[in-house]
Amino acid sequence: MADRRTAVYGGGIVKLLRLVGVGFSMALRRSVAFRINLVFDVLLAFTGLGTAVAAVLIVFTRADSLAGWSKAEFLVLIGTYQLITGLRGTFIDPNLSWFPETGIRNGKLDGYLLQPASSLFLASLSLSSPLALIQFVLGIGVLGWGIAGQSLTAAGVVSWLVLVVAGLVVTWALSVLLACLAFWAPKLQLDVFFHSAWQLGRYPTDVFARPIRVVLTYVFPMALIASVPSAALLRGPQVGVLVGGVLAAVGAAVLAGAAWRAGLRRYTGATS
Amino acid sequence: MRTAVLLGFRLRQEVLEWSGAWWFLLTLVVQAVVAPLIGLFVWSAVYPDDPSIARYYVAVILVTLMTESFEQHTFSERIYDGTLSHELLRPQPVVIGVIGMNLAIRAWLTLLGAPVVVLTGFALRAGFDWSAVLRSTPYIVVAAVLVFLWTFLLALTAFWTDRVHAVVGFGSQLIFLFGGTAAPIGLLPDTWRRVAEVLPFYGMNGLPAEIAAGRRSGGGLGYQLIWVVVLVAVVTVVWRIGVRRYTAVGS
Amino acid sequence: MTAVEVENLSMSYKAPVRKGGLRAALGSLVKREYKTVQALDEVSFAIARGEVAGFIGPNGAGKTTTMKILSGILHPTGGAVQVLDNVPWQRRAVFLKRIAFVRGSQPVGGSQELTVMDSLEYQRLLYDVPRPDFRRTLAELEALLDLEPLLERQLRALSLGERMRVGLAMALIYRPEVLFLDEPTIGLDVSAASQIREFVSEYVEQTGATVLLTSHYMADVASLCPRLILIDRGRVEYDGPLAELSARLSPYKLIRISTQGDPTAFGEVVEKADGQWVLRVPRDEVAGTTGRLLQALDVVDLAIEEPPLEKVIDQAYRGGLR
Repeated sequence: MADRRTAVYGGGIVKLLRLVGVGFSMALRRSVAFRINLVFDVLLAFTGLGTAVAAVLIVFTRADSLAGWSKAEFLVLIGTYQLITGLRGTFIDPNLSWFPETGIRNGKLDGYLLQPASSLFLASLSLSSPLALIQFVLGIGVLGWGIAGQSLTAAGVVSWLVLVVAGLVVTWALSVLLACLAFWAPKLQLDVFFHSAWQLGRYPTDVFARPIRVVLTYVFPMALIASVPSAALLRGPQVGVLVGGVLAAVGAAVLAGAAWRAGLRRYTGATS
Repeated sequence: MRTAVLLGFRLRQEVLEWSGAWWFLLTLVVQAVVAPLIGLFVWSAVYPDDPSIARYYVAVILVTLMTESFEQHTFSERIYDGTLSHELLRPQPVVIGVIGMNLAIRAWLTLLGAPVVVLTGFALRAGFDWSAVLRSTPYIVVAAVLVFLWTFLLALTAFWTDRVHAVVGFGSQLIFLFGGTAAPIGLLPDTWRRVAEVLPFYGMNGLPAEIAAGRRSGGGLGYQLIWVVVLVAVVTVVWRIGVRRYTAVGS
Repeated sequence: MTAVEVENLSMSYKAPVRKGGLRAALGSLVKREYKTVQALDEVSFAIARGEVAGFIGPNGAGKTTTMKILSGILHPTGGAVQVLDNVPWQRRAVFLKRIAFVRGSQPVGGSQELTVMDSLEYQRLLYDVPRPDFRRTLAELEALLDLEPLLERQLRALSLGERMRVGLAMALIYRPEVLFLDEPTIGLDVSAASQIREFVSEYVEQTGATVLLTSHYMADVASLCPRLILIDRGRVEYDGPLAELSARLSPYKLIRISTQGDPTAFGEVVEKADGQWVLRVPRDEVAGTTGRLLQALDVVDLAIEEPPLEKVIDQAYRGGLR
């Protein structure tokens, strides 16, 4: 059985990680070679985060708390958001953004199908853009700024970590699901809506009106990428939330895998 | 006169051309609406009893849609792929094509975005005073000119760098922060407020929205027009230097 | 030993029928009409290990579809296929490591920012090629494909001919046993195309690989493929040696003579230029006509030729084969 698995999926997780690693280091060498672009990207990452932080700081010149969140808590939230955004920009976006165009119409998917590794892995995780990690680093900075002076519990930190990982998995799964739409409706590009909804993740969901809050919790679970982990870090873990987050991640990943297989069956003509 | 006719022709052509891309335009509307929508929620949470906040942000959404500019996509790409050369050879100013496309996209965005604005307005019981909205019209027109000039100016950096999207992105961050989207200008800390009132960004977005929302009765058209003159001058100079460089490199 | 075995392969798909006009456009939102397109119709052939076969046919005949099925990208609607004793569309890793599918229209996939060397290195990992084998193969490919000056270049900065060379190198670095080449010389200039042809024939000679090759250029097929499979409208219309194909497709031969006389009465004149004539004569009358020509005219030189392959194929594509 184990033998058959390697035969089918083309090597274990170690090989996949090595592929990501090699791809990453190659891309890094390339992007460092273009100094000017590097400078631009670093500057834009700084000003982008600066703008986001400034927008929040302005609010706190007028109020002590916003929807029950203090300034320091808000910084933790922004830091977490930025960190996940950085990881997404590094490992997920270079693969799946504009999948209908690059993947299906240009036949890039054909190439992936011919390679001896899981096509879902190749299509969704094999490319990376290391410069986006700048955002990740800056996110950690803001997070540290927010945490300074807060009293944290070990349980809180662990559940933050678990929820951040869950948030990343959900993010990946949502990107895959949106990309899978292209198998059925190549003209429909919903990822712009995803990106827009993503912007809302920078604020605690308590800020928004009820209908939007429901959408952000259950449809595009942007609550999971920042609000939920930050709350766990600052206010201690809640078993229900933790279990819910992990279940959401597992469920989303399973759904993404199923959608990908169904999409491939359609693409390769296995169903008709 | 001839310029006006050419522009009108170009505009009609572009409006028709973009009508097929309604899905794409809709995504642009959503992208444009998100930032002011966040501002709306955040500031309504800070001042739950002030109805003018909601009114102001509904107006900001509308102004943003009517003044959106995408020259980094439409114009800069022509520099990158070299098709600008064809444009330079035609017996009409290149900028006419750029403006035609700009206005066509704005028209579509406004049309598609209007339901969003009206719905939000009703949902929040914004209660606009229609004479104030009418009074804001000239300010919106000048704001549209300002945003175009600013974006076009930044898009012109494509003559020198291939990171025009980063440059324009930075420009939009300035509009977001100092233009009145992140917070109404009046709510900024004093020093920053004074800086923001002098910079052109307030005139691109916050000023017309404040007038339409009735938070400010008028004034400031002179300030906007001064910036129009300044930006037109800068754009003209940069355009000349850029084209000289472009034709010298010869791509 | 067969490398590729195809039996009664059929492929049909539904394509939406689009009609003009707004009403039709709106109507199609509610209820779409489909028509069934038969891309392949009971196609059968087998290719032995080490054989090089040319796959020809007009545009839309089903060549690329067949290649996609054989390499595992598409799932057929009927029939059985075995490539190296595997069912291709299961896409098992062990199988994928033994085949390669290179398309002239898009020879190199992957990130275009990478250098050629980096891309090859990535292939090594992906296909689990042991390092010593990798080094040895790379050295061979470098020599055969003149890769050396390209190794440090970015993929996107390569010219069309260079891309094809790199595409082949990336496919062959893991030494596949079966090679599907879809129009490998498309768009290349004469010398780049002949470089690719020489390379393929040397590779086959060295490794004993099985090759199925499609091309619109008869020069490719004539120089590389002892055997041709011609398909048209989804059916195999001819499968056999090149020489017989032209005999079967063209009932004529050409007689090229140099003479001061006028041979117009002996056959249809295809060409004439200062004393050189080319006559088209039915195949079974060649002997008789030649004899009569030699008797009647003062012939300086005479040669009997097969009609050029391009012409034969062109005729076949246009007029159908039966």
